[in-house]
Amino acid sequence: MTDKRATERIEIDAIIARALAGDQPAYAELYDRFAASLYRLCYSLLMNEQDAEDILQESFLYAFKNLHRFDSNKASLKTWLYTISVSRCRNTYRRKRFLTVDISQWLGFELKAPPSEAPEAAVIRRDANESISNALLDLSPRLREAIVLRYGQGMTYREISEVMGCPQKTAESRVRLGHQRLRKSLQPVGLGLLEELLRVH
Amino acid sequence: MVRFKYRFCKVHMARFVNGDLSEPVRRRVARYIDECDDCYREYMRHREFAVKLERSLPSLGRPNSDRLNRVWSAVQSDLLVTPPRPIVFGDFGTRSSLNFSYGLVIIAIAIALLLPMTIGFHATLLSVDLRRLPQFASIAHTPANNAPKAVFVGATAPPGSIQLSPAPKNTPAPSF
Repeated sequence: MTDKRATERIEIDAIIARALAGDQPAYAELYDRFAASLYRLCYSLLMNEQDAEDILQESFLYAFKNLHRFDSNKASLKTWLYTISVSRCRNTYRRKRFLTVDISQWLGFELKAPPSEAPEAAVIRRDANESISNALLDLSPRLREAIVLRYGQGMTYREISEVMGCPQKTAESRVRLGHQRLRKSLQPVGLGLLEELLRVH
Repeated sequence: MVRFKYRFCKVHMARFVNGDLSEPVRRRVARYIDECDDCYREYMRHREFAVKLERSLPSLGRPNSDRLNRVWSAVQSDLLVTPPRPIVFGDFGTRSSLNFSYGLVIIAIAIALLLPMTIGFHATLLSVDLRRLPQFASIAHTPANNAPKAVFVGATAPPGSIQLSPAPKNTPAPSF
């Protein structure tokens, strides 16, 4: 595991060096590596596709323009990119604190099913997605961040603490609290929905 | 006793499942899970939930390639307009927001320092009676008593003149 991480780090450092030397495909390579997971992170925190897309774009722009400032001895590129995205997501929560109603969600624009998906599966998928999204939205932003980074992105507590800018113990307790609250809020719905979501995917 | 074990497990179960308990507490919870049926059920519920979260959350908001391609095109076009800056020595504090807040702080400090001085300066000026000030003065030696006299010349000179007393004769000479 450690070897794998070390190898990955060396590879990323090489790509960064190429990008800094002016190699355009190196930027595309970095984007391909991290874009999907960063988008998922932003979407899970904001529950809005358009906002997630905007923040993904802003984060990569900022990162590419400031790539020369990145120090691989201090943090991994993944942690750095996640820190940039999380801080932009926090700005968005602040801006949207009083504007929490999203009309696109009312109209069901979020619920795009794959073309091959059967209508029944689509309904199950929608229900499962909605219940998880609502449960996540019920959490406070800090607990949501901790849960998404831990379970959604599979980060270690150390990485979570770096991204969230808090001590490791605080990150641990946020994950624990978030876990407990999420479990409590999903209990009435039943864990069967989560199971359905897994089956559909 | 069973209730106590169950309550203890219930309190610590989430941290046990996430692997962030201290070694002695972790061992104790593990022992209770082995010994008590209720504790075991609680553990299984937590474990199941954690596993499901780990598997279901990554699938939330999974992007399609069209979306990612669209964002990449936007990033590329923005980068072409403003290409990444080369490495320059002493490159710090370039964020405009940071500069703006530093600027505000400097202005606030300057106002805080200058305000009392400005007020104090006006107060000093106002407290001086300009009409009663002598316009100029000259010091002249009068041959009568060989003492230097300051003589005020001008319309607003006070009555009389200030007489400077000569140095006393028994003043000891400074020794070096």
